[in-house]
Amino acid sequence: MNDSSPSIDRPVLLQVEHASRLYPDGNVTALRDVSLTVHTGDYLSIMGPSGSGKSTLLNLMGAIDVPTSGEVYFEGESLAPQRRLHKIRAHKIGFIFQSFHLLPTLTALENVQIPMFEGSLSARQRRARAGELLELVGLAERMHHLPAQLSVGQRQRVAIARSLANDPPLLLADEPTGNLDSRSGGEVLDLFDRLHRQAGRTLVVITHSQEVAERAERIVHVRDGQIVSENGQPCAR
Amino acid sequence: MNFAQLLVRNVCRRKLRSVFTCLGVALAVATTVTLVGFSSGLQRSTAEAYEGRGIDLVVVRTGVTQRLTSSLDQSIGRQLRSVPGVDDVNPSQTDLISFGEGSLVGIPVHGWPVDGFAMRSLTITSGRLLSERDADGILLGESLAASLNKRIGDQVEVELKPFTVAGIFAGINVYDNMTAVSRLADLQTLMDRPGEVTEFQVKLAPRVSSDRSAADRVRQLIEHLHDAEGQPLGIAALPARQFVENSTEMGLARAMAWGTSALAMIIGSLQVLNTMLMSVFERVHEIGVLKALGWSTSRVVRMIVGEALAICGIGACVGVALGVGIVRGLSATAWLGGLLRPEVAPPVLLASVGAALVIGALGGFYPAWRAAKVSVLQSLRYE
Repeated sequence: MNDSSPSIDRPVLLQVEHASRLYPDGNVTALRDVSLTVHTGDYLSIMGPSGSGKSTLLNLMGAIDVPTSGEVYFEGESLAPQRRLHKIRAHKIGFIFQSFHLLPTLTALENVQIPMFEGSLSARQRRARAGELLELVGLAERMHHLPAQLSVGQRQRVAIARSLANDPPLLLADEPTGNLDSRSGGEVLDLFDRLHRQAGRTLVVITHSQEVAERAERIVHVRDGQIVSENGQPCAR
Repeated sequence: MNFAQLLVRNVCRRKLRSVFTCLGVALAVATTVTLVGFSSGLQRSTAEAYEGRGIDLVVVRTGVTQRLTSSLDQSIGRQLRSVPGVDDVNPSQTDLISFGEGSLVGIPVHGWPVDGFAMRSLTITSGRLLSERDADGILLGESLAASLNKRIGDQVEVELKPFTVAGIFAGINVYDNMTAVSRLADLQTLMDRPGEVTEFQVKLAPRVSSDRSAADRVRQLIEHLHDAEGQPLGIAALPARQFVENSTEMGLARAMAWGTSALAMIIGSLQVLNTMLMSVFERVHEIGVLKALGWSTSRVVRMIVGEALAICGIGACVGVALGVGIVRGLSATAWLGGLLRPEVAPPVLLASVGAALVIGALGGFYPAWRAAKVSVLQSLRYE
């Protein structure tokens, strides 16, 4: 077991407890007995080489996957497989993917509205909120453009606006600058900083990049399916 | 953007594929509208031909639903006339004959007494009604006379026997216009059924005809008639419209129309299934993204089924327009328009649209189930 989490006064938002993930088809153990606590308002980055298990950890935290053993709790409630995980994903977690995953036939404004279909807003309210979010990420002028008509940096900003659609308490970003040039990547990280400092958002970012990781308050290193250090301090095994 | 707009946007992604699928559904609906329209038109025209002559009841052999196979002794007519509430009785022999060296097949020829009310009800537009002196004389409906290019005094061959055209009549409708009438005795001789008729056409007294319960009582009296030895006559008296609706010929026409339509609908359904399945396979990654963003499985299912329904809804509208156009076009042609008038009734249109939506739901269900099974984790890796 390893738990890198420091003791913080803020409430616990997400807790991974002794989670392991085995993929039986390939007989691969992607995560081994990992424990991690994310508090409300944290800005956490998870670093590690390819195949280290960081994406698996993100999937467990994002209710996309479930651990083979151990538990993941969100706001104190277990993300057990029988629970309606789609509701957690819709209302509690905003996803930002490396490849943006925007729907190619929808405009930026429409893409941002997609998660809101699971909410209670009317079509007019959805549209208004999507417009506000695109303005927040600096794309008010491009809201009627299709993804193909936007630069990669702009696409990622649309994806960030989409992740905020249902005002989730947690944002999970998987290599958010991986497909961006340094300028666009810098803009996205500046946006994350604003979301964290000004809006108090909780952010968990997976990255290969030391530069990206250093923007966060907490840096967790993962290797061979285990958390090996946090902020340079080795974790007990 | 609302959910319906999203569905339409998805359908419009592969325009050509969606258009062809819509066309497939449209053809299925048009087939239904056309075939059922012709079947309903035939039934209505036949019923009108009875009702137009004031026939309230048709008396046939019990259990016989095929008009031509009913065989009754002509002498029963006297007993029928004596039933209280019966105003008049017309014995009728009907056969289907080919004319014009086989170019016109299955033309109904009625054998009626020259003094019967059915013969008297004919509206002669050229020539005269048949009389006792007109042995081997025949009356032709206007459309039949035109199709055979026959005038008064010309001869037509019926079962290789020459008949002389004595008159031409205006039928009650296009179906009636394609019939012929001869003297009852002539047709009985020709068909080698002397003293036999296929049915009795009964006209009720006006006070009975307008009173359903009184008419039912007359029906019961007729059905309980006995012969001289006290044996039941074994006859059934049916209201004209009911007799037509229950007849084997109409049942076959309806069954063929709906059967062919059902086949067309199944083909349409398979086409929708194929299109939606391809659409789901192409969008596995996208469906995974939607689920990752919090869409429930039921919303994904509704999206796919909704897209199938949108395709079928558009196809149904096009199909109804196409079907009505085909029916009207065919009705305008001489060879079919003169034979019968199809009926495009609102219930048929509603049934066709309803069937199209059902095939949409059926065709969309399996692809939707496949979409529901998409794994978020695997689909996000799938690009």
